[in-house]
Amino acid sequence: MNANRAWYVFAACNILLLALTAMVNDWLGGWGLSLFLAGPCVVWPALRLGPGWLIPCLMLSGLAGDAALPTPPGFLMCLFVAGALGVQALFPQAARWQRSQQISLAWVLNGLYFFAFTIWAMAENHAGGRVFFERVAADFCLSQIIVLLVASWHFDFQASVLGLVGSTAGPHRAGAGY
Amino acid sequence: MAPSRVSRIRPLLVLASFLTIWWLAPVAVRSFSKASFSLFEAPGELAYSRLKDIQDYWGLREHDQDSLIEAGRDAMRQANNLQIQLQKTQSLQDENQRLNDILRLPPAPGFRYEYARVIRRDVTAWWQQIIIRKGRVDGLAPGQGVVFAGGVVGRIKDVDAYTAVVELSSSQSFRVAAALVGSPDPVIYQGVETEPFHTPTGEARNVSINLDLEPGQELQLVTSSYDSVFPQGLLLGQINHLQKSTNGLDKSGVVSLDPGLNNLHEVAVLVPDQSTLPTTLPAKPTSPSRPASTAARRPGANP
Repeated sequence: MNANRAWYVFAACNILLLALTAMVNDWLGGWGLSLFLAGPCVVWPALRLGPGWLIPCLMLSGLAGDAALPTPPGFLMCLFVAGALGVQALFPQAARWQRSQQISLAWVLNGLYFFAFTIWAMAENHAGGRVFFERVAADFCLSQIIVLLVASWHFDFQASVLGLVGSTAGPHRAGAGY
Repeated sequence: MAPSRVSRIRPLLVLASFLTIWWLAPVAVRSFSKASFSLFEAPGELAYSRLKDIQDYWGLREHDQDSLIEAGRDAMRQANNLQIQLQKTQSLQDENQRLNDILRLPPAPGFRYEYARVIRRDVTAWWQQIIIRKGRVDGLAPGQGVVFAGGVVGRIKDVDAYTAVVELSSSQSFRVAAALVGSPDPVIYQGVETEPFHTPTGEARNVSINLDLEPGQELQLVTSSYDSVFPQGLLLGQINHLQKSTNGLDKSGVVSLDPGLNNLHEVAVLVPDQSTLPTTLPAKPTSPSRPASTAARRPGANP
């Protein structure tokens, strides 16, 4: 596994996905809607990198995402790292999962991250009430539908870029270290 | 072969170590990482904003000459109307200045307008903010007010060298002292999340219990002199319904904000004008018999 090339490919693809999401949100803001697509960023690094390369990869993409958010420094990065290492601990055989299972994993992680941000917003801004939860529900439904489409594209894109840079990052074996 | 128990626990141990190290890292290190990534991303955002400007420019180039002539004529009419309003405003300002001089009042804080293009809107369920294309080098600082043609936009939350983050007035953490047009009582305004496909809204609290609204009647909510961020009288929104608060001592109402708040392209930041800020404290009265009106003198005025 040529992980020393793969980790920055994954990080660059994640930063691109987060930037594209921000561009779409700029457009969607006019309708009072927004997208949250963090789940797909974690799946391939979690399935194909050992902790030694996984952490720099997700630190880079997480901190890049954090820069534009009003959350505490490292909030998204910690969620990314926790999600990826959680996947490696809970599903040691996940590296051999089919594409549909990988998309399902992205969907679940996206939902969990969305929940974490909602909890943070409720604690930080004392947000609550009917309007807040209506808006949360609308954004959640939209994000969870779109993430099913975007995750598949994101995985294909990562595979293409890995091919371009000549890396053949295979599945990460549990306990294989780096 | 099934992975051993140790290999299954290992990622969790790594996670615990990582989170502990990040938690123990000094706040300065964490803040520096955020600030440096923000600076690193700023050129990309500026480039994106410039590209949008070029896109708009080429879009406008596609207009035919007739529509341009029509737009020019409309712009000229508006300019004439604004010129008349400017003269009226100038005469009101002169009168205001004369009255202030008679009463020897200290000058109200003045502002200069720093116009900025909007790079990106970030209107989510959790926060509502925009990023603008002006920053510290242009004199912007956190806490300064931001306005547009439809009234108040919000307040600057964070500033980098060339960009700034503005918290929108529809954000739940935005709160400002306000006043209802025609009512002397102060009111508190706070943002409320925007419902999907709805115009942005806020909430007015501490409205006088004696104030009633007829069906179809609208009240304008404007900024108040109690708040030093915005000059007095800037439009916040409209109230068309008031209800008693849960404590029964006052009323509250939903404030409809300008629909343009979600489609901003250009805003103006209110940068405090240093020339109108008092540089020295007003002289204290030397004797108890001195009239109170002389205690607060304008800076620079002869005693």
